[in-house]
Amino acid sequence: MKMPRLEYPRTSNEPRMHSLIRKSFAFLPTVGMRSAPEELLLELFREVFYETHYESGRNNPLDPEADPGDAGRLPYTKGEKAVLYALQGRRKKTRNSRVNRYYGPAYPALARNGWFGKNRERIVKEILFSGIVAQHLWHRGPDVKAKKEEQDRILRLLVEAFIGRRAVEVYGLQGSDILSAALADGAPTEMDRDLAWDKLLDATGYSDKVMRLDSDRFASRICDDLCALCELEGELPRMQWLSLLMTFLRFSLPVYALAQMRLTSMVLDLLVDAIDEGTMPDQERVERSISGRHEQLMRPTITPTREVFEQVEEYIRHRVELNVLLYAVDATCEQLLLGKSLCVKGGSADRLSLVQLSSLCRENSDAIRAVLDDTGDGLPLRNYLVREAEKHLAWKSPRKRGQGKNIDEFLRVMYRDDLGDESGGYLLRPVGRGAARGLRVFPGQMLLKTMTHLAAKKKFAGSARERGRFVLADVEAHFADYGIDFRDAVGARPRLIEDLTALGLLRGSPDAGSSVAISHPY
Amino acid sequence: MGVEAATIVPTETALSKSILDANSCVRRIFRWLGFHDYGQQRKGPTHKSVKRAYLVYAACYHPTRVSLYRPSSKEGAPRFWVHGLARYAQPGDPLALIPCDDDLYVVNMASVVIVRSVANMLSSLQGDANSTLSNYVTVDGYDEGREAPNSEEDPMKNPFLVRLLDLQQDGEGAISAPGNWIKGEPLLEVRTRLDEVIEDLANTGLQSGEPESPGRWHFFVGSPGNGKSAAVGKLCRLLVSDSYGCSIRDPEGRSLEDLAETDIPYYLDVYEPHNPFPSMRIVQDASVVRDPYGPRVDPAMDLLDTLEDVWRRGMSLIVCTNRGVIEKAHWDYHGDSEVNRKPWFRVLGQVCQGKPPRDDEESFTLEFDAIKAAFPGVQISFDHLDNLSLLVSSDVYDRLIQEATAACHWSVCSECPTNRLCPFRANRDWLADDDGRTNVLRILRRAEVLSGQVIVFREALALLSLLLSGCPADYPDNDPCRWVRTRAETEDVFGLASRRLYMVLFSSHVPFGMDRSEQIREYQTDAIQTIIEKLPDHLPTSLAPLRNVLSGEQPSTDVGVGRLLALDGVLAELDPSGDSLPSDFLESWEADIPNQEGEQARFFSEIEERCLSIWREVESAIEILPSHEASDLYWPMRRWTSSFTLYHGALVQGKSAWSHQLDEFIHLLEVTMLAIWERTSADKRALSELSDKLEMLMRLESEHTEQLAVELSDTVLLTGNWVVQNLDPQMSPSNGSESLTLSIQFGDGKDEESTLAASTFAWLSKSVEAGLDRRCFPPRLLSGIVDARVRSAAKGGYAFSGGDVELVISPAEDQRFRLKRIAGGDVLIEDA
Repeated sequence: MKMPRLEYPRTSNEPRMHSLIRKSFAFLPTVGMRSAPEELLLELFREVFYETHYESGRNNPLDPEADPGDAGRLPYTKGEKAVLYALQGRRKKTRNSRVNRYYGPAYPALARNGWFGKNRERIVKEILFSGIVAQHLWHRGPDVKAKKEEQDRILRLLVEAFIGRRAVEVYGLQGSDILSAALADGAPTEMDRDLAWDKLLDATGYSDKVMRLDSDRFASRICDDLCALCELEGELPRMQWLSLLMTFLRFSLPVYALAQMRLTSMVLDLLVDAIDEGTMPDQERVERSISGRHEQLMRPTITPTREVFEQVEEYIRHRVELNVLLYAVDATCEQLLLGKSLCVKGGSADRLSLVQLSSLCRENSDAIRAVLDDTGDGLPLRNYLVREAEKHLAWKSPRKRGQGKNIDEFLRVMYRDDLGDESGGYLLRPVGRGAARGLRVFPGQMLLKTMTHLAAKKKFAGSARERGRFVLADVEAHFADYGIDFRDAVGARPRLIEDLTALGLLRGSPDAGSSVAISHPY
Repeated sequence: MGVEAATIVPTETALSKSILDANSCVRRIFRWLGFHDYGQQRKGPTHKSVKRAYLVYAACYHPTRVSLYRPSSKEGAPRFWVHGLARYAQPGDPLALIPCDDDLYVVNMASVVIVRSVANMLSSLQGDANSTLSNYVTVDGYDEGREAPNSEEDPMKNPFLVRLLDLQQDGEGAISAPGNWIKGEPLLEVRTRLDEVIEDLANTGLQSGEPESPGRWHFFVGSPGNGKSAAVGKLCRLLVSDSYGCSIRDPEGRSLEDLAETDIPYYLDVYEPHNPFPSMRIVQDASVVRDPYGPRVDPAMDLLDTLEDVWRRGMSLIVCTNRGVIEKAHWDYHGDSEVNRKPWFRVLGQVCQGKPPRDDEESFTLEFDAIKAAFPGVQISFDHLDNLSLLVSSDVYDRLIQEATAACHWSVCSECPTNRLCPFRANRDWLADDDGRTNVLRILRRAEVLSGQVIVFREALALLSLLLSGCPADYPDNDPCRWVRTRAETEDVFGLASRRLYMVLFSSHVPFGMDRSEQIREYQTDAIQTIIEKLPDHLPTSLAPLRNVLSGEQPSTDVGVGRLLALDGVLAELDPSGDSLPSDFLESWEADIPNQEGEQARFFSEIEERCLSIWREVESAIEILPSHEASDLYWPMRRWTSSFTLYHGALVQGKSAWSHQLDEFIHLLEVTMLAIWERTSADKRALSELSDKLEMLMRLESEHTEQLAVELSDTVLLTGNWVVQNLDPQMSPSNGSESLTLSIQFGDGKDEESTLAASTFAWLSKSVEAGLDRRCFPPRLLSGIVDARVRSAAKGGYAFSGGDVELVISPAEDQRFRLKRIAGGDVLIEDA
């Protein structure tokens, strides 16, 4: 008997995200174009220090010369303009744009006249605060007391650093940062700390999207590094600190998003195996895989590759296939998925664990297969999923349609830009055009310095007995914590050594390999 | 001969083991002439006497040394050894030993030519009572006599050239390995500071030295090819010689004599006579793993195991290693309390931090704690070889060249019928000439500093071998002499010219010295083809040489020493045609075919004469053609001609691209290598001028200000007195491995460091001298210095300083803000 055709809600490019995923850890928040790291900084200050992250529905890029007119906001004074210009980023590529540069707000008060539109994706909030920081804090559950204390500590650190420990209103004029002192003639720079605290508390709180794991090395690494950077604020001039922070945001957020994308593929594989092979996932292995989702994310290359593009394409295709599969499960086990969200372990009335979902799929494998297999020729399930998924534009052109396009655009923040990216905060360097375009994965000098600093902080945070000398292996290990593995990449280590030598950071013989001593850049 | 001489006939064993018995005749003559009295000499290596000796050839003498000693073993039977004798004589050759003025002259009586020549000299001596034998021996140049060739089959073949080929990168002599250490002495050897170290180690690293004296642990630290293994090879030859009478065995008990040339044991143990236990261990290359098939492949760990084992046995230890292995061994276990508390671990830290030796303070002593230790303690010392140049502040390469060009090695060439067309003999003459050699060394020194990396022994010898015996790839029969004769017979003048040293240095990567650009090379070959086709009757002497150029049988362009000679090698960067050369030079060497008169005539061999005559003939022939055809041929031919003449002239005059700037850098490097109290006021002035130049460069960076400024970003400049006070650069030689760069430190504590490479300095000098636009300066060259300065400024807290700090913010050409810190922490804001 031929089963009726599978029906499910669709958007213009792909199936509508199944509710089981939308509220779960496997959901990747919507991301979008961030053309320059200065935009991430603007978004960060707006998210933390302003009532709303927007003032209007439209984007309003930061412009030192902008006149807010009668909107009730103060125009920039001469000192403020000077400070905005000091953090001038790269040139915009659009010819008709009134503002032809990106500007970073050195202090939160300077973000008052710039914002992203109301309906724009909120990358900093969703990925940094509700993603990385929340995941680090609550991966063992929302009731761990020590973590609540840690949340307080982290939020205090973030607020202090973002406001600036050497800001005039905190430190006084004598000994303040020269940029802060230059703002003294402008609008009041004191920000509402309580508001910032509440907003961060809310953004970093526990949610269904947090993965319950015994340990999450990846999120913890990024969160610890963010804290290490915030601790540095006040020791370095604001301008240099901000360039470190922007480099960090520009690198860590896309890398985290890339790692999260792997979870979709992992869930899909587990369910397909349960249906095709009748295998059940091992809880420990699942957790290990999730915890190691960042491993080997990108291999440093001297020649361009399409590895990153392929990851985006794979994610989008698997996302479409997973949704199709879940709607097929819906069609066979009506009500069972309704109103639930997917979790890693410990299902409840409103949560379904991965193991439970796999079990459900296995038990209903024939029915699920029947829903998808309209020919009855008994091929592996993947074939039918692909047949159904390829009807969607997102599956056919993963990086040109829908979320794939957004992700592709977001990842461009890691690209080296030909205009004004001399400091080298990039990880990826595009080579070629069109279909032949590839990406060379190798950190620029600024990113290298940032990671070297963070690796040194990590090394010297340990007990004195374990410290030893700060060597290249520590820098490599730190990159590996972000999924960039130099140890397996041919030719990458010599290049890394060469770059560190050029920066004057190498303190020993290059032929010591990973044991060559490195000096701390900051 | 009319002089008192002792005669000996060395056996094969004597020559291979470097031991000669001082028979009664030798002892008597030595004592009678006051040269040496074995009766007064005590036994043991510490009482060995070393004197100057000369190996006498037909036309020259070769300086060497003779060791006179009585071994501790064998009842102290008197012995001696003349260094280099194995190369001078065959087993069975009768040798005359002539002591004269505390020197020993050794004459190979098997060579009739030598005997006749010496007899002539001695007869001259009789007429001049004040002369010594050496006054009558020509050091350089040739005479009519020649050394008796070893090669019976080809009397014209120079065996020295064949042996030189072994020194090239794939030659048998390129790598010094235990299997060939005692099979003979190196072909080219000059005495360096390391010889003293080796002799000291031999004297003090054995138990037969002073009683109760400590053993030795010595580390030779350096990169591949810079002579560590060769030094240890020399030590082994010394130890197995009769002076010390030691035997050396690998871990399997095989003696050094029994090792094949491919055997590379991880370590060798040295056994003294009558002692069943080893006194010394030699690790000849700690960068290899002890067991490549074992579960653990980590040379650093193997080194630690060795140190622990040797410490437990209380032996002497000699280690050859690259710096990386030592650093890895140290830093990997620096934090491991199981390892770092062991007394021998301290040694690694000292060796890691050691600086190139300058005085005798680099040794310290530890006491062994083992009960059955061979020594009560150990004296630790080390030599960092990786920054030691053979060229800069050193005459080692100069002496190596002199050794290789000594007339004795080349006397056989004097009767060769093709010697006037031999590029190798012509190169030898060039290098034997003081001015010629000086200019070649000057170019090589520039190449060395421009690359920032020392030219190691292996490279140096390979290059010398290439210049003097050509490229083995050209010789299927391994016979450079035959290659020259064949090329001469076939009138391949340009093939021979390709091996002239100026062409080898600047143009060995392209056939026949033609253009680097493939497209222009095609024009050139097309032009030659056309000339041959259209004007054969007008080329009576040029036709055959030109046809050879098109035959496709060009000398190999893969000549090795790629770092220096390849298309993208260092010498290509020094190509004189890449720089603006003085007009008088161009007039002499490029604009017209040069004449061969005056001072530089000695650098023209018959090869150049033939080439010039061919080019003249070709140019005359071209003029016969209609003008539109002639111009198409003239230009590519002229370009070919001028590449030869320009390179030739450049080497004659020691010119290259960046010559002035690089020579200045070398001078600065030499100055910074001196201790402060050794610097003259001129040296100090030169360093001060360098600081000024750097400052000017920093100003070049910042077009908006006349003051010293730091570019914090492409928009923001940091300036003011704070910058002058806190960011002034201080220079010292860099300690980086294999590095020939200057180190620049910034900041109060001078904690931010960068290197000033020769290339950066050269650009810097040119920018300042020629007033180049800042955009001409390649930014990558300065990025390291700029970054170090920005970091130093950031760490120095410019932003918090109450001093004179100014930020100049220039977002656009017509827009500028100045933030100036004033008293009380306020900031003045000015815009323009």
